[in-house]
Amino acid sequence: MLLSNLEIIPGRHIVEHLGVVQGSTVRAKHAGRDILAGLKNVVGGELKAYTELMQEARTQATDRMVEQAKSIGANAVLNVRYTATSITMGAAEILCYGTAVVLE
Amino acid sequence: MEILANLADSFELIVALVLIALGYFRGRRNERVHLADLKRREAELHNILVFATRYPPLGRGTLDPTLVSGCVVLAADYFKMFVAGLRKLVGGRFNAFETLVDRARREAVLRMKEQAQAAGCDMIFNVRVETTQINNGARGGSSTVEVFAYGTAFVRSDGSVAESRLHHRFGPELPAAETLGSYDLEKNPVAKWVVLAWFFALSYPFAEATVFRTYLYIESPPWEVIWLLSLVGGVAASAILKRHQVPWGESIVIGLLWGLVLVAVLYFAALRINSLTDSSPHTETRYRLEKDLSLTPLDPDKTAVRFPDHAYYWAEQKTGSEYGFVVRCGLLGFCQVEREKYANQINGNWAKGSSSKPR
Repeated sequence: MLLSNLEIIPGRHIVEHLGVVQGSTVRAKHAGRDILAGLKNVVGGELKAYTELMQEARTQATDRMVEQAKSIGANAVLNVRYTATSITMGAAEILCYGTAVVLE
Repeated sequence: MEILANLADSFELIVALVLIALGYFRGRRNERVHLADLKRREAELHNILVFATRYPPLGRGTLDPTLVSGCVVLAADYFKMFVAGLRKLVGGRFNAFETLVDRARREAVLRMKEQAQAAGCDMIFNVRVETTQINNGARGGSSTVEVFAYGTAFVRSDGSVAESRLHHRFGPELPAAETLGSYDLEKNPVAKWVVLAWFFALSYPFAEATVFRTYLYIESPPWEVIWLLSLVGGVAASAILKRHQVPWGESIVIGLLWGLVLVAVLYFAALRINSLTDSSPHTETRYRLEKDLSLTPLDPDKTAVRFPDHAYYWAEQKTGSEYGFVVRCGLLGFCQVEREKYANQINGNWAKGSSSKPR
């Protein structure tokens, strides 16, 4: 499954266009690391626990989109976009969506 | 000594000043270190070109795409929040936050470039930078912002789509929700029962305090024993939960709550147990008020009692007058009085005036 956030892949052409696929997830972080993130708020800087949270969430959302694309028989997803929403303190929702196509 | 007393008065101010100083010095240092790091890495990765255009390079043959991304979450320090609060009064540019978001953006783009370099590409197209607000600084928290940069990098392709080496690789298997103990307490059977039992335990002191209200302590309750047993109970609850894979954050909080509820439960349970272990019949004993405010029983077998909490009432009464209460002294080592008659005596006659009527 090739992923791209462009609409054109040089040298290949689209044989079939299979519609929009998406994957989303809502993840929250372990409570203990959330408390340590609160301490970081005095000195600022990168909150590694949150970075990992967002990365895991994005990976899972992308995986779900790819699974959906595979199940409808695509071999590439074009025009991939991500959106993120913070649900509460410590929880984030990530949506990943794109156009599933069959590339030659 | 006065200086200490004055310092104690302005405790919150001192804490705020310490936090602001900490935020200033550590925050500025962190920012300096980060900016130096960014400069070094940008110099290393300057050959990876980043384009915002939606159109890939044509005329380079068949290319295979791969999505590369980088994300970072940065929080503002306490000093930045303090300065922001002042800036909000007059309006204008928030220089402190501009540097924060700029650092986050540069870091995210650098991470995306590092991922492209690892894939062997040197150009990234259609780069988008998205900023999400994790915490907006309300309720005393600090502003936390997440920047995510993603784009498409191309690698020259050799064969068909199926043979490409850039196919999406699935991420590591994340633990399923059922095995995570953190926000799914109800899925962990032991934790579920511990929490349910806590609610039942909480209802007992509520019932005693509002509905039954049968007994009052004459002197003070055995606080040391109550605190000790509650501490043991709270620690035991924490240990039980920790043993059954509840993360330490939740198990400590639930242990604390159990300790608190045990204090209330034992306060009332001690009264009940004391009453049950008193083998004497449940009848009224008549007492006579002495000059030292103690009440000696007319029946020589019983013990004298004194009510230190209501000394103001007993001091007003006439020495030698007689009263009747049901007093239970059990095996737990203290005495208690049945609340209804005693409270009526104290409250009713206090309202009427200082003259007391012997029953």
